[in-house]
Amino acid sequence: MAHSDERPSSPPLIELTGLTRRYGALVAVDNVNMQVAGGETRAIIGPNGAGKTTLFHLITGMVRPTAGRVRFAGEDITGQAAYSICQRGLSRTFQLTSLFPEMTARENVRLAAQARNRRRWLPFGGASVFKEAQGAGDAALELLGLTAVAERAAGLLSHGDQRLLEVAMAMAQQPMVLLLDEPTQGLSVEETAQLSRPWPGSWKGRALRRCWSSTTWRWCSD
Amino acid sequence: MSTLAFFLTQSVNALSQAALLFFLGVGLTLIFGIMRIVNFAHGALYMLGAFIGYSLVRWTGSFWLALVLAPILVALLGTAFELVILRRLYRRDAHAFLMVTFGLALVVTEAVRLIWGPDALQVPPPRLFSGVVFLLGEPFPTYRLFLAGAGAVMAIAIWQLLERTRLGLLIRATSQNAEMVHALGIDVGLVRSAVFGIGCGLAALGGVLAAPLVTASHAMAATVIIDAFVIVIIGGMGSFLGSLIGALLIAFVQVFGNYYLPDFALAFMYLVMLLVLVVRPGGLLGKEA
Amino acid sequence: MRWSSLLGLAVVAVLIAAPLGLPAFAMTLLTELVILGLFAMSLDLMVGYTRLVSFGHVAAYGLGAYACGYLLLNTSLPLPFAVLLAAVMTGTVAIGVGWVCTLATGVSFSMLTLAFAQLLYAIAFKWTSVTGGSDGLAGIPRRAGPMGLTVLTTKTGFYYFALAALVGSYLLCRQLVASPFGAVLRGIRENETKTLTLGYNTRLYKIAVVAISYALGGLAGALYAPFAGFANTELLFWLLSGQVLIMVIVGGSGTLIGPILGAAFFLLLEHQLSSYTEAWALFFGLVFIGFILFAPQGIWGLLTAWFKRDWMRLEKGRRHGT
Repeated sequence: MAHSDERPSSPPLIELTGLTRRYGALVAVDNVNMQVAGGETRAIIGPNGAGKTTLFHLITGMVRPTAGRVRFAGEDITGQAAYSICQRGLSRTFQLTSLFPEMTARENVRLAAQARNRRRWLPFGGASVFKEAQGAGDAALELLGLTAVAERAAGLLSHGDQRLLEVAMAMAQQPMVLLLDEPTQGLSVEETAQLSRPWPGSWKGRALRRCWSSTTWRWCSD
Repeated sequence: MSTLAFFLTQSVNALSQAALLFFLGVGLTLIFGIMRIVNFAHGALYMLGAFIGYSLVRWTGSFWLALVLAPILVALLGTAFELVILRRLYRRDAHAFLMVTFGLALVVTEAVRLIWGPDALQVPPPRLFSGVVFLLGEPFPTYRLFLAGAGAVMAIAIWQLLERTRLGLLIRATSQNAEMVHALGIDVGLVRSAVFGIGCGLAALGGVLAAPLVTASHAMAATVIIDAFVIVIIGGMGSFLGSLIGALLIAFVQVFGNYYLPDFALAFMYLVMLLVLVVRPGGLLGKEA
Repeated sequence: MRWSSLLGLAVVAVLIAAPLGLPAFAMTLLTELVILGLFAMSLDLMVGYTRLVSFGHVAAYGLGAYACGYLLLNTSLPLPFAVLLAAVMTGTVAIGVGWVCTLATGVSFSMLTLAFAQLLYAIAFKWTSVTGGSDGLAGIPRRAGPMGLTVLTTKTGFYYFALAALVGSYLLCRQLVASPFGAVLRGIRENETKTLTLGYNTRLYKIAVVAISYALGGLAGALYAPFAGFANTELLFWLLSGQVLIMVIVGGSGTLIGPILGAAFFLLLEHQLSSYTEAWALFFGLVFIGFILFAPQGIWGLLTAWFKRDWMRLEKGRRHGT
């Protein structure tokens, strides 16, 4: 099910051993072993119902595995809460677009970036927190070509722009690993090209590793 | 009193209590199954049933007439409410429903206070069942026996309605996949209105039956909605069988708990609700909220 | 929005100047408005900003009132300290309440808040030694402040104290919703799952907002006890939970000012209509349903939309709900 297109160059960032998830008699994810290193780009392909999204849920802590372990940057993160796994540097997007519809695109990415700030919970002041977060957010918007619609409410964006915004939000978190779940679903040809442009190899100095799932062969081979 | 007699009387007691709780819970769960909303007004409608029952008994002198008419009146009221108000909210989020039914609960509670005054009212039980019967030497009110019996009869009746009749089929189908039912040419709106009305009627029926036992009072609305909610949570939202099991469970817990630790009844209910919400949020048999 | 800041300052100025011109009974009404406004505003933090619908906010009000009443009757604490201490006590208890209630979400959360309020109601009846049972605590003194300040025992003095509490709380809340913490609350309101997967421990934020909301509600209750001179189980009756929720929705949720307007609307109806009919509370409930159906953004929402001549927002408010 996994297809690697770059040779691993450092110890594995993500390591899955015997990862399994059963729903009663249905085995959604069956004994998956996978190692993905820093700087690598990996695509996970399969038809609908293959279990790709479940695999992502297992890695990001939204679903507990029935068996097996997940290691991230050398540490065992199996069974940890989704929010704390994200804090370790693992950001993801969803197959069904999930945004903050009444906030503007800028506010969406700002909230995403704010999550990585140590003082994200401050109940007063916070001007510096907002400034830093907005900076990271705006950069992500620019990378995805969304600067033109930055001040529009997310719920009013076109479907394609919404998908891009979701990726921007994940990027704004400057993660070590980015998991994109069917990111091109519903995108036009131009928008797909926008998304699969080669991104800066190092994002603010960190080797970014992307991992995405898709049912379209054509895009993966770009 | 011998232990056996004690357990027997308390168990029959619990069965009669379970009947009342069942009437409450089954209506709420049916409404949830069809409409995916929690009818917050359910407790207030139960109370309304009790008060309307009181008046009907006073005017007509017949408990049985009140038993039939009061639920019908409340069912009509519920259907009207669904048609006029709830229909407009189907495209909105769940909170709007919750608050509107909460508003209904407030309006009904205030209306009851205005019409019947602030005092609790006594409803005499029907002459047929106002005596006592002796169970293993202990006196036991026949009215409670009647309640337990009525509960069993209604449970079977509703079960048959759901399983054997066309309406029951429509109800079950709509609660599983409303769009499909609509695509098959059935007016889903009518089904919804009917179920909402039936659910409200069942609540009122519970109220009328409860009145001779607990008196018709104003505090009913809030306490009773919590009871109903706990039952439905335990049994599972949208599950008929679940509401039956939940009612039996809570009734036994309440009756025996009340005997051993009378002051902690409410706290205990709260704890049970909490436990179920945490351990099995879907309830024992239910569909997810 | 500059015009609204100016308007706000003007309103505060009027409120400060009020005692100079108004007769005594109007002062009582105004003080009641200030207290009720604080109560409603405290609920808005939960309902309007985080979409945590509580059906049991009387728990905060009652706790604050009973705590303050108890302190004033049984200790020699000066009034301001008793009031503040009662608010803090309420907020502390609310941490536990929040921890329990946030185990569930949605309707279940709302039911749990109601259940807790009902529990307090029952306790208030039974624990007669502390709460005075169904009679409640009576004869709560409006004691002098520290250093012999007797100004608080007067009607005007107490009014200014309550007004200071309201304005102070408002500024606190405003600050809170504009902070990073507030931004997270907004995220929780619009899409809690997304907020969670972005890396926020949303449960902690929810518990925190419940604690703050209850603390401010408790502050309102603590002001009510010496104001009215008594604290009884009426303050814990579930109808009041409903009425304060109505104040928030009808006034305009998620705006802080709206709920205060809602409280004013409520008091206006109560005092104007109750001389004509006993059905004013019923009418209030009907108005509530009407607003949910046709004007979910509330009075303040309607006003701001009208001032901005923003008809599109009026339409959007009607279609997209609370």
